[in-house]
Amino acid sequence: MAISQAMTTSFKVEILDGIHNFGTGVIRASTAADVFKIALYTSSATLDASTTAYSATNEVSSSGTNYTAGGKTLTVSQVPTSTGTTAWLDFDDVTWDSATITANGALIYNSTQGDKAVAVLAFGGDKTSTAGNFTIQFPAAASTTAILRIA
Amino acid sequence: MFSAGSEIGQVFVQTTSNRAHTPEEIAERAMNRIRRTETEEDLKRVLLKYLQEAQDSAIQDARRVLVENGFSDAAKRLGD
Repeated sequence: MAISQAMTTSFKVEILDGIHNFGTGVIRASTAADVFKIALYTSSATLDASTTAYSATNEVSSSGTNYTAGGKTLTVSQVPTSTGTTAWLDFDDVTWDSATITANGALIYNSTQGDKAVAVLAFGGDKTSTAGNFTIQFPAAASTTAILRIA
Repeated sequence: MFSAGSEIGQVFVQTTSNRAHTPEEIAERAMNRIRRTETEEDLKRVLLKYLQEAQDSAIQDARRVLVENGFSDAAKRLGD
């Protein structure tokens, strides 16, 4: 017999599933999954761990570029799961077709829950499409690489 | 005390100018995914997804050429 102190793996997955609520005033009106979006930003944007919600400030221009303010809806290709003791999930790649875009980073946010921020993605430099495709590929769906992980 | 860490994976951005993605570019992204597949079912799903994208890209480029040459109606027949 042995007791090993740990945050349970099931709890980590359930955090991603929105099962546990330690706060007050949180109301979940539906059992459906929330809608998550990704918005693109120029190098003028300030985005980091202190970002709390989506903002259109310094978002990529939507004037004639085939980019719409607020970005695109993400498709969850792997619902929260776990491998070993790590909980993780995965999104499908997202593409803006025939678009003229220069972006330096992106924000994943929850459009169902007041546009609350989820994750900031830094591209490491400006990425540009000119009347072409701008595609973001999410990392491989695995516990050591997936886009969102709780280890 | 409990210890847990949250982590964000690194995305890969791929862009083009005046065209859709080439088969080579799509293959590059497919390989990024295939390297980590663990089951035959996962491999099949990844291959199907990127093969469909290659097909869509070819249609997208065909549509662009039709529009550029004044055949917008024909382009519409290829779908959105």
